Amino acid sequence: MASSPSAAAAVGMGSGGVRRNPTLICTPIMADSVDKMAILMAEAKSVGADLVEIRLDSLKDFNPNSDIKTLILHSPLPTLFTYRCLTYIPLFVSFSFFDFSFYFFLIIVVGQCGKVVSIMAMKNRDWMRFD
Amino acid sequence: MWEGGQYNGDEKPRLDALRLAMELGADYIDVELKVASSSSSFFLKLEARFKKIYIYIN
Repeated sequence: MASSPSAAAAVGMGSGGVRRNPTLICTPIMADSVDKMAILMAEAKSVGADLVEIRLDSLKDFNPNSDIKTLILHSPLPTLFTYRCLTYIPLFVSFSFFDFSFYFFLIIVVGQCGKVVSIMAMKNRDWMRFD
Repeated sequence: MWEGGQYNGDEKPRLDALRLAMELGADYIDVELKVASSSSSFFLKLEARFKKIYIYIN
């Protein structure tokens, strides 16, 4: 297959020809639909990628059964499936009391698919951390 | 730290989708090391079928 000039082609790692470098190039594929992913996968192959990293978390209205089948069927390259969680999200919760000289402020840090990773509380300007 | 993604749901459907990808013929599966403790049966299946590449994301 003809490749456009790229770093991959320059080191002889395209889909054809003799491989001179054992390093593989993996291209992340992120799109909100399977159709768009199919276009990006074809593009990845044309520029000399060796495999595609399919980022399932980027799909909107993801239907695992049909979407994964379609993606494997339409991928011109070996597939690496990734389904990645959000980064840590701090949730800020504040409480106000009758006396404004006293306040309490709580931060709950959630990450890794909903797991609470850290809780911090502030009472009268002093931070306390509970890990 | 966690490499940022867009999935914000429960862990079970996430692992079910990756398990399905394995069953349907994916060549590689990206699984976090913490899955070894939270879903050891899935991790053992992966270990049996795939070669391992360890990645450290800083």
